[in-house]
Amino acid sequence: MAGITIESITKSFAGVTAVDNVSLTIEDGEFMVLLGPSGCGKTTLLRLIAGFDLPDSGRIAIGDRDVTDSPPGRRDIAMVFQSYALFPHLRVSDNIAFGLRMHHVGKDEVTSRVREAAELMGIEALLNRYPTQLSGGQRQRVAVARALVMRPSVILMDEPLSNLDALLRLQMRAELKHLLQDIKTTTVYVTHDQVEALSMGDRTAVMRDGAVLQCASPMEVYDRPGDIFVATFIGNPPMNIVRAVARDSVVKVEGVEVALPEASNLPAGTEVSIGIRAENIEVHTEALDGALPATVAVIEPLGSHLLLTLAVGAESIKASVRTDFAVKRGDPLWLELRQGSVRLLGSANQSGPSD
Amino acid sequence: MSGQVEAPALREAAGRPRRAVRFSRRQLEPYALLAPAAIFMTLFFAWPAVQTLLIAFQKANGSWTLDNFGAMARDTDFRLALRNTLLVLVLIIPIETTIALLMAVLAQSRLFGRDVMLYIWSIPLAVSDLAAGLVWFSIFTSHGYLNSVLQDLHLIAHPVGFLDYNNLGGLVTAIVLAEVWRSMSLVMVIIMSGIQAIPPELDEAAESLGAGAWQRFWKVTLPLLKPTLQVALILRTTTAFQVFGVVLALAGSALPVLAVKSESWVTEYRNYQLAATYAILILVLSSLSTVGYLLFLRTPREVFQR
Repeated sequence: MAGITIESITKSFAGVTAVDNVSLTIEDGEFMVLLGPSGCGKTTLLRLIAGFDLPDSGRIAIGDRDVTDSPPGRRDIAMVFQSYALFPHLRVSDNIAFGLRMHHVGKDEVTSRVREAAELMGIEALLNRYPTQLSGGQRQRVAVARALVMRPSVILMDEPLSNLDALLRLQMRAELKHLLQDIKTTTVYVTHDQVEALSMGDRTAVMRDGAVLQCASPMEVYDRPGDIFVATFIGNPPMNIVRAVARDSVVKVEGVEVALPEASNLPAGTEVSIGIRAENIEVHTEALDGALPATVAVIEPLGSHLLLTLAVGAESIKASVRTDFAVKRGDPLWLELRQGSVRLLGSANQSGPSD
Repeated sequence: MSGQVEAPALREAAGRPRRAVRFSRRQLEPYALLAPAAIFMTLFFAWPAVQTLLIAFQKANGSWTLDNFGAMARDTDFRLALRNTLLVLVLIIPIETTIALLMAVLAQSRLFGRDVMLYIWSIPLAVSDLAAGLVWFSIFTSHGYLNSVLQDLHLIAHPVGFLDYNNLGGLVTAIVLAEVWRSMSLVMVIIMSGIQAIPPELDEAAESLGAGAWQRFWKVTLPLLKPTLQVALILRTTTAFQVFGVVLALAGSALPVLAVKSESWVTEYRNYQLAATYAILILVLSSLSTVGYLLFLRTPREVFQR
């Protein structure tokens, strides 16, 4: 068991910087999710921690051991690959036992540890099969068992659920979380799926263009995104971003004053972007003081709620309402932005990266 | 443990009604594309092979007989030719397979200069066997490069007869060298294609589980290369039984081998029956070796089906 300390890691391939001066501390036993769109450097960062690639500069320590120059086999890590990377010529039991045998673990201990890992993953009945005789979900379990049996300090997972169908993914997501919480092994988990990131991680590091934009608990990242990119990458629908003009702790949206949760220190008249989640918008059918007048543009029934797309002046805002909310296209509505849930996401002079 | 991999597609295919037996252009297209190769193979391989088989069981006048095989066994050089062929083969195959495996692994590595290495290694692919034999002849002959170099270095006083008719060791060494040089690039290309088909994550997975480079080669790469090696070995053993041009250029008749015997019975004695019988013997030996490889390098069917 050990934490991971990443200090100013940079890695480029053929002149393209994949990981750009990233520093990150992962606590012992923590489940850290690296989240970002493809090409953001999350997999490269994972491979740097694993030791498959070596950084151009910076240090990596696992526990109090500097592993920057260690080969993967000496880092006390175990990896679960997106493709599972099971050895096709070995039966499930030999796949799981592979690492133990490489470490010259005694025969009896190999047998008992393989059995233990297989029981943990519920694959005892598959031990004599070859990987090609397994379903995707079973292969996934074998890959996890092969990692767990090593009792590593750190488990690294590269999009482990992305090759499973939607239903199985949902099931494995909960199962993996449960399992990793039980064994309390430090885990770094790469995904591009924001739902996975939110539901599984103790903390989520949102990455873009090789940099970590924000690293915080899932709820924090969801509720208080650090910038416009994080706000729009996380959540479905993404956070509404609206242009506004600042004045003390108040911003003006389309001529209506909206209170900010904390004072902004922005000079009056600064153009800013504010963000608000769809579920934090109260929708009224009658005019109300301090509410934004809007017109219904699109109504999408989503089963648990209705998602409304509303035109507010030149802005487009999404809000969710209960399914029994009687509304039709073109109806006038008034939007009240719930107290304390409006986020200031950058002004014209301190703009977020996606501006 | 229930069998879960049954194909449900059969029912669908069976239920489809048969249409009239008029072939559309689309249906004929694959056969048209195959035709040139099929005609070529039939005319120049299948037909001569059938003819050879028939001639081996015929007398000169065309009547059927098994006498040709007895005559071959009584041929003065028969045992020698068989021994030499097998001797050359058991030396060539392991040596060239090992070297080719090493070259393929090096060519796949991220070593500096691997592209240049690959080009140089591929040169023998373009050299015919007789030309390869002549190249090595010019090295090993009494006035060849090797003797010149050794004399210039004052390591030997007089030229050494590496290829003298009674120097079995010299002849076999030269033939093995030439044949290995000529064909190892072919084996390398086959093995490289096999290595490239192995997903790189498997190597990384083994590495992260603590396997060193040597263990990864023995425990992961080599077992997964088995089907590829099987193809390469079958191909090369079959052609090594037919070793001809290299032997002709380096040894002439000083080191009889089966294929050269077959040729000399045609060109020197016009005895097509005995020549065909030698050819059939080569065919039988090649087939037996192929069956051997298929049996001993078998991969469980479960391993590679996707």
